[in-house]
Amino acid sequence: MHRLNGPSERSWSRFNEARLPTKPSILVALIVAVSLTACAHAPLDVRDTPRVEQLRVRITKVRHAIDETRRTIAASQGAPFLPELYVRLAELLSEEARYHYQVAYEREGRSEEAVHAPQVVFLKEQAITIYRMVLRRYPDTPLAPRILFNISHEQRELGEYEEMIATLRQLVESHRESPLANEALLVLGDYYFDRSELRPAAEYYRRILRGGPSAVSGLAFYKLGWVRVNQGNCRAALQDFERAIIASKAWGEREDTDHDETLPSARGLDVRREALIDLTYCYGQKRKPEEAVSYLRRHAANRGVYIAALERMGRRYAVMEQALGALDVGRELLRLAPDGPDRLEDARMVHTALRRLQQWDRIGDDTALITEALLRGIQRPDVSPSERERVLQEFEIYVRDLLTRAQASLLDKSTTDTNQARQIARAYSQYLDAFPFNVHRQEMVLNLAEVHAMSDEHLDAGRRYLEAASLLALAIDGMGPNGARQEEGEDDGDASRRDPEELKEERRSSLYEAVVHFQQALENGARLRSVDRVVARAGLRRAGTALLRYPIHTDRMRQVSFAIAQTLYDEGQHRDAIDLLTAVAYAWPNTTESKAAVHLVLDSFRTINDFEGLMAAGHRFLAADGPVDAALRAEIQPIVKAAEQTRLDEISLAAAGDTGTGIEELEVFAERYEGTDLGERALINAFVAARAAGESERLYRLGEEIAQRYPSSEQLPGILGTLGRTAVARYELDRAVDIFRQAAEANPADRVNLLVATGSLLEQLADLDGARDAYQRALDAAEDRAHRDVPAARLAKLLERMSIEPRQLVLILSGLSDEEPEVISRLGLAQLRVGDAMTAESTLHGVVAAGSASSEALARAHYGMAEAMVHILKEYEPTEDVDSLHELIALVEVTQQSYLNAARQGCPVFTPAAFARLAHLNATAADRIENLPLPPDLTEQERSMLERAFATRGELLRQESQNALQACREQAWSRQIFNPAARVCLAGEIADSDPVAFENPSPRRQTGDVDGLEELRARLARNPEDLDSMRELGLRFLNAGHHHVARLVFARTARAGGGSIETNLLGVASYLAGDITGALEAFASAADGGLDSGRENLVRVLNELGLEQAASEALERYEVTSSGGLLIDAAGVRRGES
Amino acid sequence: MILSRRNLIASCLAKALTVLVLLMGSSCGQTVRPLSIHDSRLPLDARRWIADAEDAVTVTAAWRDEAKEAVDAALQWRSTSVRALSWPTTTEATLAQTTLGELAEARIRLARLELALAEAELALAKTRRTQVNAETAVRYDLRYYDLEPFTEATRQARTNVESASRAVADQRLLVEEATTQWWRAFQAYVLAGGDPRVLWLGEQ
Repeated sequence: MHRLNGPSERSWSRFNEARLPTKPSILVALIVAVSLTACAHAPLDVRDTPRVEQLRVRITKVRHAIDETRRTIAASQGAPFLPELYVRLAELLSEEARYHYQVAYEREGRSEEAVHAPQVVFLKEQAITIYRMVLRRYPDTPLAPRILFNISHEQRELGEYEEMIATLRQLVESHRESPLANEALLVLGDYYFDRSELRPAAEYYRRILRGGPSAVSGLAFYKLGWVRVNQGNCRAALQDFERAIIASKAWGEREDTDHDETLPSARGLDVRREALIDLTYCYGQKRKPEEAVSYLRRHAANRGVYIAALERMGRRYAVMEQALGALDVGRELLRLAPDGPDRLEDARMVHTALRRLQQWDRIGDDTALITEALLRGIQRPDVSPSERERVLQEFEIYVRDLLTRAQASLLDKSTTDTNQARQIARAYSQYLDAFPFNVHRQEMVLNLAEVHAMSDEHLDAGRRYLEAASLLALAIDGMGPNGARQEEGEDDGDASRRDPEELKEERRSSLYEAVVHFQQALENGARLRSVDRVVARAGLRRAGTALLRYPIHTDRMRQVSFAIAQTLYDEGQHRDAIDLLTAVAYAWPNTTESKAAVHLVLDSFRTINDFEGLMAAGHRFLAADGPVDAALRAEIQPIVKAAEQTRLDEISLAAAGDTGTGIEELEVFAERYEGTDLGERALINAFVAARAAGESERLYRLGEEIAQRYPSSEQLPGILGTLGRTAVARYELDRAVDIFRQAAEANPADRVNLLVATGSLLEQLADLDGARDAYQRALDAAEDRAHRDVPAARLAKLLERMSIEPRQLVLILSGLSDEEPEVISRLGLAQLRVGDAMTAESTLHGVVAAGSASSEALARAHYGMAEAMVHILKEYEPTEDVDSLHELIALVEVTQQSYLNAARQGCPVFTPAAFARLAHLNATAADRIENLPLPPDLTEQERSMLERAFATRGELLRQESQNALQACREQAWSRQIFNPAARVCLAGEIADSDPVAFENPSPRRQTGDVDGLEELRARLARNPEDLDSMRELGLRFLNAGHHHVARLVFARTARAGGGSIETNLLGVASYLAGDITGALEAFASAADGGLDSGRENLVRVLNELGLEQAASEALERYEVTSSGGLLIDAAGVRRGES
Repeated sequence: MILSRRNLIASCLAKALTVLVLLMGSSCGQTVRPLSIHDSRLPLDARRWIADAEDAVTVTAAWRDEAKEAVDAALQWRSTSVRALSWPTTTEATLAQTTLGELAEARIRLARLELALAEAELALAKTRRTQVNAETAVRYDLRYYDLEPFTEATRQARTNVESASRAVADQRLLVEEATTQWWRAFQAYVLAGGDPRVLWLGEQ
């Protein structure tokens, strides 16, 4: 409480820690002490307290100091510092006096009444005597102000007030510039203030202020402020207190503050603090309460001062019943002040103020301040349990009272004040946290939920409704909020005392509200944090499940059931979501929720990448008894279809991996969707995967399945083509032929090519009739000339090799093509063979003139034209004139040129044939020229000249004939051409007729496949250039009697880089297949590579053909550099037996 | 547990014997020393090949863990969402309850087969990794191994995967059939006036 009659007690402590008694009191004390001593029979052995012991020690020490100072004084007479020594001595005496007083004070039990200490007076008087002696002896000493101030101090403590005033006035008058002058004025002012002589007191204080800023200016203002208070002038007092604060602050902030510590006023009193605290009295009367907090904060030096001032101000407003000020100050105190019993008072003050003001805009914050202060307060160890309980109950009522009033105020408003609602919600939360097991909890939770709902805080509303439902469930079971069973009559406010049916109804309502608000929260999900969404979903499931246990309308049941299922979907618990959403779809078909559930089910499957599941669920929904109507059916059908495609893609992708697993899954998929586009695609993808994995058997099987199940598939031709190529690559040639035929049937667009491929294969397998049929069918299938050329050429070539009667051949070839050089050139030769040289010459000339013929066709054409010329030449009979002779020679030369042109084309068939026939032409031409009849009208000289010329010419032609023959032979040795034409030359014969002939392999006796080749084929599938595997495969065919196939394998091996061994094997296979030309050529190639067996086989076959001379020449020509390889005899089969 | 001195010696001997047996076992076959993907003697392609094989092991191990969790989830679903349901005593309810139970068993069986498949895939990945390491070492003359056993082991592991995959595919069909049966039964139950809430009220 404030003091109205003077400065606080603390302000006087600047003089001494313990004030000395006045003179009468000392005397009384002395009398009492003497009488007590006289009455005593024996001294009591009183043991001094530690404090007294400490004082005794100090007395001893100060006495030592006194003795030492005296000795020093005695030894320092005349020294300039002697006055200081005297002053020091006096101060020591004064100090000893003070200790004696304190000892006496302690021994009197710290009683202020009477202190018996005679030595105190003695010592102080002695000190005064020394001070005065110094002033007398050294009147000009600078220590004079200090001496005078000390004398006044001693006089005051000895109760000599008049002397004290005189001393202080002397100090002020004679030493005005000394800092102690202001101190003296302050003491004088205080003296008069204590005597309630306010006017002289104020005058002394003003004299201090007139002297300008000083260490005591703030104190002077402060004292002056109290003078104004006591004069009843609060307005002036406020100003003086504010000035005191300002002056103290200004003086404290100046730079040279050190010396102030020596001044008595600098010790003991914090003017800024005291002034601020003491001004609150007048502030409450003269200033606005709503500005009080900011005012105090602005003037407070630190937090401690601020709190102290607020406390004083709070008490003041409480007394004044000024609610507004009390509320602000109370809030600030609860916010900033340290814990203590006063805080509960502050909380009560805030509650009272709030009730009075009905100010609810910060009720949340206020409740927080109150409950936090409460909880901190009751947790203090000095609070007993009963007190704690009492205070808790008291404040529970306070806070509940505030909250219900605040909510009532909110409900009274026409529109919801969202900010106020949020404050009330916060207040309820604070209440529930502070009083967790209060019997009113359930009501408060419901109130809170309602407030949350009003402020659109749906998540919190849902949570609180759910909590209320849980509390109601406890109440239904007869339990309180803490889960403990309530005893009879325990608390009238307890919900468990209510009618159970009423409680159940209330719980059902709470659960429904919880579901609704959780749903609304989730609908505004964008504003929710992740954790809030999780809470909302979990809460909705809990509330919804509990709600479903009550009797409930069907619509609401459906909505809640769907909402629960949807939370699982939103949360990513798709498996569980699928089950419950599907149940919604089946339980309430053709409703909004059902339709949404169907979509969510499918979407869940898609999200977890379970397209199998999606497809199955989709088909169930789409089934006749499914829960979807026509519109929904139309919506989900594309989804299911897309899923099927995606699933197929997935399986296909898996099957396309390097492990090759997953093809079976594709087959299963294809079987499931047999007859549909999807099934077809699955089967095709399985086919592709099998091809990539090199699983040929599976490839064939899948290809056949595709052909059977999907004969009109667009992919079938490609698949059959792939199968055919695979079969060829695996040397399953019969199968390849079948597949190509099948492919030709299935693929009209590519039928020509496929039939040509079939014919080509059959040719290789020595099935010439089959090949002819295939080419013919290809020709028939060709729709235009561009497509006819290839099969026509192939057919023409085949017919050329077959033993067909020339006239029939002319007939057939004439119908094949009238432009294709391959056909026309063969037609020309055929015409020639039937004796129609003129027509043949014309036909062949067309080939040469066309300019687009292949070298083989050109060779054939030139050869044919040469043969035609030979035919003409043979019938040409020259007459006996010179022109006729020239004509004959010209004919010969033209024929020679034609043969040479044919030979120049490099064709293996016609080059040796052309040379062979050229040899014959030259030989016969030589005979004819040498035997030509000479014209009869020649002179002898002319006759002789002509005969010599003809002889020379004949000789030249014979030489050319031999050269041509030799060139023909060389074709065999240099180019390894051993066809019948070449062989004629090798036999040293002159071909007097067309030597061109074709040897066809003998028909196969072994068809089908050879067992046990799968591993080799697999190796070749992985690496088609694997020579070892190819050679092994060819040998397996060779040993099994499949010579034609072996021939193809070895031919491929040789092309792939095989050496002499493989070429020799090709020769063996060819020989055994009846292809003598091929065999000779392969053996010659092997022999040329230095292989012993190659040369031996070559010699063996040449001898067999009667070409002993050529055999001998082979032995000479080919040097053996390596041994090994297969001999024909070792093959165990003779030519043509396969 | 405190071992006596005799027990301690016996325990040490047993451990030593176990180590010896393991060492003997490993020495009977070829032990492939793993190659580092940072081995500077190997070209980039070879290192990638090894890294891919390593990755395959990691990925399949993760699949295996997921498959284990799926088995637990299936068992959990059976106990909390199937067996805990309170069905009425009507004929339709009994049929629905039975088919749901069959579906639960089918799903558990599928989950276990998928776990077996995942384990087979993990085994394949490990075998393949060994094979890749051995082949790479041989290809770049870092070490010699007889590659045939590794090829055979991989082939066998692949066969196991295919077999497990077939079993999963078969079981998946069974699950779908069971699912179809279950929803038909549930539909019939609802049409007969049954309360659909039964599915939502599994756990208290």
